[in-house]
Amino acid sequence: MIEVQHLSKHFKIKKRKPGILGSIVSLVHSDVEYLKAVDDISFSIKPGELVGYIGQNGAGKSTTIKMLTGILTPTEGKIRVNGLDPSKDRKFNARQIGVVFGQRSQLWMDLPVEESFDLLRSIYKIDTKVYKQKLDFFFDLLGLNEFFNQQARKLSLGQRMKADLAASLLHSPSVLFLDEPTIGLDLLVKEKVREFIRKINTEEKVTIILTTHDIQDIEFLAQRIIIIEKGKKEYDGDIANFNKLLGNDSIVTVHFVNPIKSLELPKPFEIKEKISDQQYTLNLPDNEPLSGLLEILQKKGLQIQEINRHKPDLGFAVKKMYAGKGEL
Amino acid sequence: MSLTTKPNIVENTFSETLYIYLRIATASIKSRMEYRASFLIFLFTLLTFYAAQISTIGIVITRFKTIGGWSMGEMAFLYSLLILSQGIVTFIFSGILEFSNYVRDGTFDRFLVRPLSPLSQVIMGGFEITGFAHIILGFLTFFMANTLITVHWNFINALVFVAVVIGGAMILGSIRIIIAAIAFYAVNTTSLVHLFVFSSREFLLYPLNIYSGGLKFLLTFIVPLAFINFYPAHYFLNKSGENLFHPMFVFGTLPIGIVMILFSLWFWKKGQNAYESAGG
Amino acid sequence: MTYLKFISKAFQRSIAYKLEYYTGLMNAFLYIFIFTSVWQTVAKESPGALGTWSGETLVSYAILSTLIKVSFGRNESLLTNKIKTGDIVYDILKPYNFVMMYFADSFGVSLFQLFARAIPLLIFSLVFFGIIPSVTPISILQFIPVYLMSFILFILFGFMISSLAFFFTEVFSFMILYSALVTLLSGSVIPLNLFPDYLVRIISWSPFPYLYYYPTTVLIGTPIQMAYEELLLRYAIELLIVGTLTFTVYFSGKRKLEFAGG
Repeated sequence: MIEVQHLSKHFKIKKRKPGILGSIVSLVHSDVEYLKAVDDISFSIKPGELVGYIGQNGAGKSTTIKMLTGILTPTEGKIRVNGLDPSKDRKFNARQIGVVFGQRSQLWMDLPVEESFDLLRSIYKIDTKVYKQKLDFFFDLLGLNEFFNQQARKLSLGQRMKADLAASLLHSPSVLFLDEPTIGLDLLVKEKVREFIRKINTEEKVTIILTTHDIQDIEFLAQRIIIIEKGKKEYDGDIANFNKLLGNDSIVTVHFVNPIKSLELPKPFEIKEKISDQQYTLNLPDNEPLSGLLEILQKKGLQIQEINRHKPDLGFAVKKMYAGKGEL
Repeated sequence: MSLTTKPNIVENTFSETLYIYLRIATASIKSRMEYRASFLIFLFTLLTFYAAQISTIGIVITRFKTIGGWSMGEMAFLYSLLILSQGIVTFIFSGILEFSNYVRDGTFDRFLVRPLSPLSQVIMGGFEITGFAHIILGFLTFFMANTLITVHWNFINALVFVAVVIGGAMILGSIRIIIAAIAFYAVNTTSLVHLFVFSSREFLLYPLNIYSGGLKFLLTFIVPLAFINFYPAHYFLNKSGENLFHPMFVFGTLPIGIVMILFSLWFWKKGQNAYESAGG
Repeated sequence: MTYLKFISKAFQRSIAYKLEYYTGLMNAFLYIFIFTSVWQTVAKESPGALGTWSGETLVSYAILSTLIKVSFGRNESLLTNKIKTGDIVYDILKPYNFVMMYFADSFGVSLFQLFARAIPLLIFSLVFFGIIPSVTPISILQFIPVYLMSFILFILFGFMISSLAFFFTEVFSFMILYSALVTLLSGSVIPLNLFPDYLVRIISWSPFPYLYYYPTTVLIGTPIQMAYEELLLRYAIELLIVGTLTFTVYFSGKRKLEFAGG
């Protein structure tokens, strides 16, 4: 469905020297350097998959998405979306994909949402019956009817995001690109949006590529993640597998009976965080049994009220990877 | 219900596309009218601006009677040709002035992801109703010119007049498209817009023969602005052709307009391709 | 010290916009070109209507008034954007005087424009037109205080119009309105005494001629209808009036902001 082979994107960057003298010089000449924003990436996505595309800012995430949607042409490599080349067959491909940019709405800001949708109906030649069905679907799941007649400019961020999501699905795209869809949303709206996205993927079988900085988005929605760092693909596979690869250190939360001002533990145990005088999160290395930790605590004369052990979460694993502490 | 009623990818027909563009254009005009107070203030400002412009010329010509051998009535005629073409261009091609902003804030990327021509989306989204103010102003100065000088109007003349105004609009419009396309290469083009779109018109307020040879050459062969009003005016005002490089120049407006539009479209396409490879 | 930094930052910022620099230069040159052509033509055709001017002095006037205009610079959107986005509250909270910062910033921009625009244009004009304006050491000395006061007037106007952003969203329109009026009435294009008499009388009551007409005529040394000392006095009065108006607008706008909760 989506084939990416040896994809690369190089940019020319002008370097400017600092200071007053430097800026006068740059009036007539600047040094140029090449930036490999995307460096030889390959992957393929099957129909119905929901893939989380993760990377730090500047890692090459949005550049890849722009190439996949046809906004940028690759420097090297090949992209096929349902057999179409997104940049060569841009207009054609636009009919089979939906895109939501978290930062930029596709609605006409000065028009009521209803009119934006109607314009889209004309642009994408959506059959009136199908259009009505979809509207009912969106009214039902997103509560779109509550603000359907309002000017897009006057919507809250959550309302605008819901409208953008619906708008991107009007023409029944087989692939949906979501770029930071939950950015800036409050918790309740985020959950609603995530549920909607999951429903679209599981029930309607829309293939979804999701880029986000919100780890919880990924944990809730994605089965598969692709991690990109400095233009290169660092990981491509299951989330569960990723967590495992990054080590099986667990996190242990301990509630003590009596408050402890400062807690010291011998290696290899570590204090991750002191939540309060009575509650600490500790790092339990992979090869150490929990019993060993309990022994040490008992030896210190500490009484434990409650102890919980968590598998490390995706956020923790990703942070570890970026910090260089984890190697794949 | 199912969202994935598999779409056959069918393109819009030409007339359907036209209809869509018309809807986008109407939508943009409607939304501009929403802010009525701002709109009226802007209109007032526009009229004041042109009043100041006309007053400047008026003061000079009242005192000196002729400029370069052109009388007040002839100057008014010159001005009316310019403003009428300008009105059409303001009406249709105003959206394109904002283009560097679209590139900068990601709106253009949004255009690229739609199954429509991005240039058309830019143009249609920016229809400016104040273009009509220019047209009215143009007709006012035109009538004033006709009271001061005599032009023998007949059917042929009138047709040529319409052709000249349209051709002039094409020349001005194509310049806007070219300048906008530069935003694909250099991000901050506001001053370029200011220079080529607004300031360059100042030359046309006065007859070309007062300028040096180099400037005349520039405005005839490099950036053919003089064809908007100066050369065609000779035809209507029965002026002798001593300032024309060639007598046929009086008819050059429409052909040159067509050529320039074609060139500007080609240049735009080039710019768009460069954007897609450089990322802007 | 902070204000010196602001000046330097404004200077650097002006350099950063390379394209804007070159086209700004072209723009100014364009106006010089147009008006020198107009003056040379009409001087030849209707010398009787010139009054106290000659073709050469009119050309000098066009060049020098454009140079003065070009050397005045300010950041048009600095204040309006800050008001629009609400960022202005941060500036009011910072440990410097916002008004002084605006002035320092404008000074930096003008300094840049003086060196990077006015001087190249002057050199080019001298070479191209071969006219040496009738400038004398005395006229230059007399010119300098007048020039500085015109500059302050210029800044005040800019500040006043920008402060309207506290009250209106259509500040951009007001700026166009202002610049249209200024272009006509300040003598930046046509010396005031070539206007029809009734207009001259009206305009000389407004502050506009003090922007470009008087500085240019003092520099060239063409006679104005009053003594130099009287001109200075009038400048002081105009600065007082415009200054009061400007700060009234600014401070009432600021107060409005505070009441609205920012």
